[in-house]
Amino acid sequence: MVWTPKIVGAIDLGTHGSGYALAVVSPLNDDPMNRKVVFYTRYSGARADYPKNLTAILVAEDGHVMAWGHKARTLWAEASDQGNPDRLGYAYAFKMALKEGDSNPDMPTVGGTLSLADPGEVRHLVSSYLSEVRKVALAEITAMGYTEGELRWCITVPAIWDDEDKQAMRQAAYDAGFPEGEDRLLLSIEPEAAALYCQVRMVELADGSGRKEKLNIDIDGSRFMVVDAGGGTVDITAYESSSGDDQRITLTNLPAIGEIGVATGGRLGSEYINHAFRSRILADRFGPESIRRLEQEDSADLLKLSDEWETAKTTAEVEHDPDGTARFIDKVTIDVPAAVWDVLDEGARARLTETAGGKPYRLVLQPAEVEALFTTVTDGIVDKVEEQLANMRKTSGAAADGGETIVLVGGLAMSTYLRQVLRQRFGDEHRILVPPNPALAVLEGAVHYAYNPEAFASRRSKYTYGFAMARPWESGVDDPRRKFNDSRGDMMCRGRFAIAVQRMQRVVIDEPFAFSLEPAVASAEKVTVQLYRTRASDPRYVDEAGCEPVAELVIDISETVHLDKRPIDLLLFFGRSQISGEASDRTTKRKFKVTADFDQML
Amino acid sequence: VQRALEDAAAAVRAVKELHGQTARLTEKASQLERSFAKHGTELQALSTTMAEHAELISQHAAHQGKQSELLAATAQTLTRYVEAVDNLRARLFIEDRSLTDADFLVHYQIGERLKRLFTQRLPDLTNVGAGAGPRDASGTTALRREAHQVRLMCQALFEGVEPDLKRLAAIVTGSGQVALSEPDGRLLERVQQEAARLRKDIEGTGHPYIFIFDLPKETTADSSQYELWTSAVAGEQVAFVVTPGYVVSGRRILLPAVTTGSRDESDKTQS
Repeated sequence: MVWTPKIVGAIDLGTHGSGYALAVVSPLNDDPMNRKVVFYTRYSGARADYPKNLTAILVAEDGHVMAWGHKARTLWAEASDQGNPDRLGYAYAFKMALKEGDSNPDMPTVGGTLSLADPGEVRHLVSSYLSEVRKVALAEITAMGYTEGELRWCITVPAIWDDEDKQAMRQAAYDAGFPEGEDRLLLSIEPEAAALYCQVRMVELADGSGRKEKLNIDIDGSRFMVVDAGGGTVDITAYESSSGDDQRITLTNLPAIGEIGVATGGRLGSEYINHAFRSRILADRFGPESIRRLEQEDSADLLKLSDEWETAKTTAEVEHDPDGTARFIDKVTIDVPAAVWDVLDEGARARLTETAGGKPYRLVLQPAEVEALFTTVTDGIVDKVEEQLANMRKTSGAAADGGETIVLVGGLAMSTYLRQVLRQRFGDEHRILVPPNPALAVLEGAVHYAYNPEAFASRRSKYTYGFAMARPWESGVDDPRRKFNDSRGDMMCRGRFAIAVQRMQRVVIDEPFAFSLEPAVASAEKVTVQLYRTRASDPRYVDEAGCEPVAELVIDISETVHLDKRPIDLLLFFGRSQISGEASDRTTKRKFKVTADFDQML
Repeated sequence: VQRALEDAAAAVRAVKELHGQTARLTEKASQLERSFAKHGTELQALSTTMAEHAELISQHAAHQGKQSELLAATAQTLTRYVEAVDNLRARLFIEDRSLTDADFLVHYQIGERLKRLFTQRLPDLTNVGAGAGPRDASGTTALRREAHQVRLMCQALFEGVEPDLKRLAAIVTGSGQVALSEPDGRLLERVQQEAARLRKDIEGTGHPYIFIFDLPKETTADSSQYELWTSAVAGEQVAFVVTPGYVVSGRRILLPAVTTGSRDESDKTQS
């Protein structure tokens, strides 16, 4: 009997904030346009309701979780100010460290006994955090009368993550107690989730008109770019939709979407504006000595100050110069906690009071200063969008009407300044869409995906997949060093990339790709077939730059050693989270199943 | 004659022998008959038993058929119950207004806009007549005056049924005594427009909401429950609420910002 969920839940594990949302599966809730999705908002340690909690965790020396979210940060600040006598470990924004080599020394995100250099420790942190989210979610769904056995989960992952990173996330989720199995735990690529959200909800056009439009993925051939401006990184991914000839496109059965070009982006998230605030503004106004003392003795109040900036930074209003350039018109005022104020020297206090119109305990940033902090990331975002637009043109040609659709999501998309900067640079030529709750677009989109994974039942392959094979040697084309004679004396070329699925080829979930081969050595008792992938569309050899092995299939052909012809059929199935292979010996009818040990596609 | 007698004697012996054989055969036949009779009875009994079993099987089959029908009916009932429970659970979920759904999310944006207005723009407006106000060395007076003015502005904009924009202008200009510069005039205008938009947006959601302007007497300024206005001291008694809390459907979207001070000062300021 096929298992079907009665309730679905999604977790958006963000760099800065994380949240989860739920939807019940029922004919009453089937219409995605009117689907009720609920967000959890009452996180422990948060003073007010909000749909996201801080992505922070505090662990004891033995690794068990002391607190998570806002509460973790508060407790860590207290412990840190006391010299961390209990040898606690604190981590914040640790998600990106799951991707190996992605730790950022500029941005301190750990304290105490923790280090993000150890991938095992990072996975443990992610797993521990997910476990806490799961506990809260299970308490809520139980109160609603549901059980975990009725629940399908979906966890979001960045587009730039590779298969191994996704597998690490999946394993971390299993370690956290999430159910195993493709159907019980889905992974959703963040920009795809955001796109799905923009497809089912009306999205505002960022031209100041207040007009709302849909994304229109359901129109065959439509192209769009998702700019996910989050806490840590800005991820920019371009897609094109395409339906099969026989595919009926509906809202619940969208055409295949495939990445155009390569996902781009960088460390341009909101945290980098905060970092600039601390390193430039605070260091300048307070003086390096005071900052050093505060970091050592009163990090709790220093955190409060950063929090004030975090909430105040998006509040300053923006207007246009006659040439359309966006300019901040408001200054930003931040309260300086008394404990911080007392650490400052007389000169610093006097200067701060003077710039605050005679009011002490205030830090005032002039519009130009706010703008300078924002441009540390907005200039880079504009460049990256430009780069991705060029990529789209290069890969798929110019759009039919010359304009592309740019979808802006993520917490930083709330910034009026960023919207205006993008509008000024790209608004005349391209359509810019911002959903009503950009910070929650990925989360809600992931719920819709968990509700109906068939919405993206097919996509275009991100890689070219193929097998390492011996092929007839071509004189003048193949390197002589690759030449060898097979058992029949034919001249063969070793290491050829025999393409099974080409990059950008439409791949339907669980539809088989057939491929046949024959052993080159007559006496061989087994055949080892290696599956490779590359971003190149038409690779010739498996050892070209960019090609990498991803799985190995060992086929026992000992029973047919005596035969002259020994054909083997291979079938590749692209599941939601795995590639599985099935090899069958055509002579003996024996079958061998192989599953690649990582996530290949979602 | 002798031969005839011998023949007759032989015939008699043969007859006797035949007779003996007949008797033995008769006996055998009789035995067989008795045996047949006995087995016949047994067979009949067996046949009867088989018939009884067949009857029982038939009864069982009928019973089982009934049981299967019953089982199928029970399964159908169960399916209907499960569907009913699922529908009920789904309906409860969909109709539960206490859950935070997409319609409710707008309040978090409204909360951020309110916070921007309360903590950034309204304090900016208090600087309009800053030159006229008294200054002490520590600046405490300026902060207290600001807190008081911000409270009055918030009351003008969010305490009544409609935002009182004229009252706001009067507070800012000291009832017309302070002439506004061009940027200050624009700032006041923007604040008025934003306040009016906020009120409209809040009403437009249809959710029940309240602004918390006052707290019970002797409330302690607890930073986990309230925002502390500049220079307010955690743990001291709350003097007054500077900017109101915003609570929608029982959920705290924005905390009240409070300031502290002595009771006398508080009473004086509130009056």
